Amino acid sequence: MMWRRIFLALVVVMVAVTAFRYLRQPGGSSEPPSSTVPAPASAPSPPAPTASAESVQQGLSTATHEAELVLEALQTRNMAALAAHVHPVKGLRFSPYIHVDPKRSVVLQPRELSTALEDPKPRMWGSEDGTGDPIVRSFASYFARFVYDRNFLAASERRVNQFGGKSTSKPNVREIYPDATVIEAHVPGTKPEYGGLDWASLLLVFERYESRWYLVALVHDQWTI
Amino acid sequence: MATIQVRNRLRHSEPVVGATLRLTRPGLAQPVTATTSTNGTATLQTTGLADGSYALSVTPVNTSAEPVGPAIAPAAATDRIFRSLSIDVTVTGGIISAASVTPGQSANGTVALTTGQALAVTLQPVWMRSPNERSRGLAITGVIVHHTGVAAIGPVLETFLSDTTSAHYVVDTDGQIVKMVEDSRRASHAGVAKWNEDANVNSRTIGIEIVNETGPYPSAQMDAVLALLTRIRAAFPTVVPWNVVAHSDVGTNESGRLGRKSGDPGSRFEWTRVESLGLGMLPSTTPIAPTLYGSFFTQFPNESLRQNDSDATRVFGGTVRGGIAGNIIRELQTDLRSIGYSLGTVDGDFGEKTRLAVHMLQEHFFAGGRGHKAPDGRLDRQTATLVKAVVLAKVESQAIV
Repeated sequence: MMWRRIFLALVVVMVAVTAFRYLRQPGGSSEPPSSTVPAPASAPSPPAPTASAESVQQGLSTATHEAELVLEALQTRNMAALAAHVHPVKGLRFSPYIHVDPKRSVVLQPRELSTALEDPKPRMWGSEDGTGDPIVRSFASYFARFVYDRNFLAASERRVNQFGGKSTSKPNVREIYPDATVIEAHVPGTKPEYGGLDWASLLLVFERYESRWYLVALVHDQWTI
Repeated sequence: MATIQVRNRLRHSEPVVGATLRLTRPGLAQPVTATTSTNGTATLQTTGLADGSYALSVTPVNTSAEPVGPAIAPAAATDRIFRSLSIDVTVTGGIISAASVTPGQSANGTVALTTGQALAVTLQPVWMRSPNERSRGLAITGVIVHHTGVAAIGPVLETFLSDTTSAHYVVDTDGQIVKMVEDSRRASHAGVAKWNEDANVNSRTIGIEIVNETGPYPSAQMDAVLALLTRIRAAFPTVVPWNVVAHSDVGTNESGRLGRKSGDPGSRFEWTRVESLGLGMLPSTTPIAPTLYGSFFTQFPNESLRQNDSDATRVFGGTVRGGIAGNIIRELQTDLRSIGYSLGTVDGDFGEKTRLAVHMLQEHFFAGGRGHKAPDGRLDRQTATLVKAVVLAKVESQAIV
């Protein structure tokens, strides 16, 4: 019994550290607006040593923790693992830029995702910034350019429900997903000659469904003309 | 001996190769000359020169004194054109002991005396060829004004040199302009866009990027934009004044919905100054009858036509109003389309596309101190009068037949 309590306490501390990492980001908001998004059930502070297994489970299923798992799946290109986090009804929408086209963007269902990297079929994902040329790529090619083109798992900046404003494209994620929790993983620019303009962000958009946060969109953001 | 290093003023990593350095003074029998090597350096033999003041000219291989605009027309193999620079130097004991840009030349470059008595010279580029261009295939009929959303020009130039995007001209905060794509070629600036129901916006327009993160546009920069527009208009009579518009006016998503570029170039851009040149969407000065749009605004002067209003349901201003005559939403949609905004089918329903067209028009016309209210996509009396005034001006100019 004693060991079980110690184990539970350790898990709660782990969740708290994960949540704290997000919540203390510079300039980041601490919680989604309470009027539109239910407060994530995480952020147990201070961790309660007598927390029940239920509350621990609830804590683990917060959007921020889900985001961590999603990023791990993306980093390892484990699409089966990613599919387990995708909204079972809405599927997963992909947008190459922060202005999302809700009518034309590609939405894949969990079952399609599992084998997507092996699917050579070209799809139309949107249009290139500036040129306006159609983005016609296989999933793997799109994934490499417009989903995971940086190590977002190791991103130095994470923000909750605070995104956009870094390029001249108008963010409209909130219009399309008014009740979502949006986790932004931001990788600052690295090449001196670009003066920071080579930054990139990945927005992980979660919606609550049957008491769990599910991923509904992966939105790539970068400087646009 | 004096070592001279010559670099691109806006891209310090880039040496200016092959520039001719010429040191002279009255009475000097033979000017001292040198040419910069592949790393942009040259050595001037100053040993033995008499102490005193000298003039040093720095002349790159490709140079132009023309104002930046259509007159900068590089040959096919020319990737860079710089301004030439004159520098006043003092020679003491056979070395350069002081240097400064000749008065009146500060727009052309900079000079600094570094440790070891070397001279660091930069030249202002006026042409930096972007590879991100292609054939137009269509005549130039308009200009799209953008802002960069960042404060410095260097990263923007770097992006246009390497990425997939480009603009014909980039206007710096101090009014200096760099040309990057020939006017006759298509730059990659507008992205998915539509104007006058034409999706070939990149092919039909010249793109001007203005370095502006946020806030007001410095007067020197605004002056430079206006001068550039004047030069473009003079060089290309096919440019229709009405088609000098903002990226926000034309930027759509794949579904043809406006708003993708809302805020570009933003509320601080001074369209009134563009209009003073006879360019842009010019409202007519003829008084607009207050009975516009079925006299909606004379009956309900404080109301606005808004999203979900409909001719079919007779909902106007969010309420069923049987006393309003005619199909006023269709009339509004027809007006917005005749101005140039993309809103799809004229169907009498004030939907999202109509709301966004009104919003973009408000962004354009309420910018730069002509503020009325924050754009909200609702057609209030002032916005309605503005729409009619622009349409009327086009009719008066016979742009609409």
